[in-house]
Amino acid sequence: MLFKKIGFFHLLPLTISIVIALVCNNVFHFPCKDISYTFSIETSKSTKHIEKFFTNDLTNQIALSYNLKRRVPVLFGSSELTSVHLNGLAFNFFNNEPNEKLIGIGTAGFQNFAILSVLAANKPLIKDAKLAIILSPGWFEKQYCNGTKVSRFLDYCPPNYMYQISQDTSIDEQTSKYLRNYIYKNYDKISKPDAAIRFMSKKNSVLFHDIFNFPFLSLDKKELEFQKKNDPYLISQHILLTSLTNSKMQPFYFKNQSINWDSLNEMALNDFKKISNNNDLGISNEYYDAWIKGKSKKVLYSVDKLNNTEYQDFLALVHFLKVNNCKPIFIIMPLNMKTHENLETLQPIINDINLTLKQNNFKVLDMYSPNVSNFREGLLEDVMHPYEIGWYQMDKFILENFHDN
Amino acid sequence: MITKENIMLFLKNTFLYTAIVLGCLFLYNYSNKSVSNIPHTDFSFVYAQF
Repeated sequence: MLFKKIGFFHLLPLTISIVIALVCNNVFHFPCKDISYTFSIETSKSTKHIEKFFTNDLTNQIALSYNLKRRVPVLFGSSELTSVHLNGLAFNFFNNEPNEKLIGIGTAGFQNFAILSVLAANKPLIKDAKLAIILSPGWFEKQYCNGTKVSRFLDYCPPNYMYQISQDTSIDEQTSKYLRNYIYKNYDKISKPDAAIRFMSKKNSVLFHDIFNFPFLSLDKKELEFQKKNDPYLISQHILLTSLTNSKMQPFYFKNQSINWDSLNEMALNDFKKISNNNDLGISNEYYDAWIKGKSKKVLYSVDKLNNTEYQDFLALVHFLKVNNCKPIFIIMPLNMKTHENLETLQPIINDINLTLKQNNFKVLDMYSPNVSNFREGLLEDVMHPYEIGWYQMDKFILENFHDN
Repeated sequence: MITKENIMLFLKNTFLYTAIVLGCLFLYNYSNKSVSNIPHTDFSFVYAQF
């Protein structure tokens, strides 16, 4: 009697419901996830600044990978790259003639960890690439030392990059563990995490974790396998890397130029005096009126290295570059000495950064100084972003280290 | 025995099971997912794990 009841009131309705669901699935198609992608090769080739990557649009990703492969200098930076009105801004300065090329990537918040993940997603192309990385001292100060924000990380690590990183077994163990640890720590800040993020978020340091995670990892692996066969967008970065790695394209010739830097600096200083004459802080009138007038100096606070996530991210980035035999150059930005207080507090960490870079044979241009006697008018446009003179220093450094003859 | 009550119970269960199966098919089918990997706003934490 009991079996009869279960059969009639549960098993039969369940069977009917499954049949109805299957019929519905075939007749009324549910809204499908967009697995297609678009790109424009022409736009990729003419791109000189990548502000972020877009899901399902590969144009910017192709621009980056293509230029890495061709050994076009690629400048990684943050908010200073948005000063597009300056002639000295590297990707304006080196894109004036048809045979000149340099591209920039980054906007505010593009910090060490985001740079690391972008490079990890392009690992097969970076060994011979010309990489210039701008470090902002403010990243290592109390306000920003918690590392790259998740929203920024996701702007630069779209699903196809994440998939590529999760599947690339050639990424060294230490870097892979560091990337996974970031996802693990920030997992609860990501809504609707996809299989690659779920897969990378699992902690597996002890046996207990492995046992507990087993069913979840198995499902994620199955989904990743399914994606590999059915989702062209997710595997697009892998396809792009494979085709570029096998390509025999000619590297870009970054020609040396004889530039009269003194003359450029002189002209820039004259221009700066025209836009900065209502204050003695060495910043533009417009910025002074909007942000500084009537306000006190910004006081800086240091954070010790072990608790400074940004510094740990920097070390992880240096390690990754080293193990992949890259030869990047680094630039440490200055801060305005007249609008900041307690700049000396960051000097020890800047010294450590310099030391780490030199120990790894990476060239560095250190523009940071806490000493107000080193103040130079026209170096910065506001409290931390370079003006033409600052950019010319960086352009010179880039040219000296990357030119081909 | 076929009574009005039993038929109603059968139809009710069929309706419930259909709703559950269709709901699961809609929510958990890989192809039916909406945009993934959205960083939180102050109000989206509720959906964090879904």
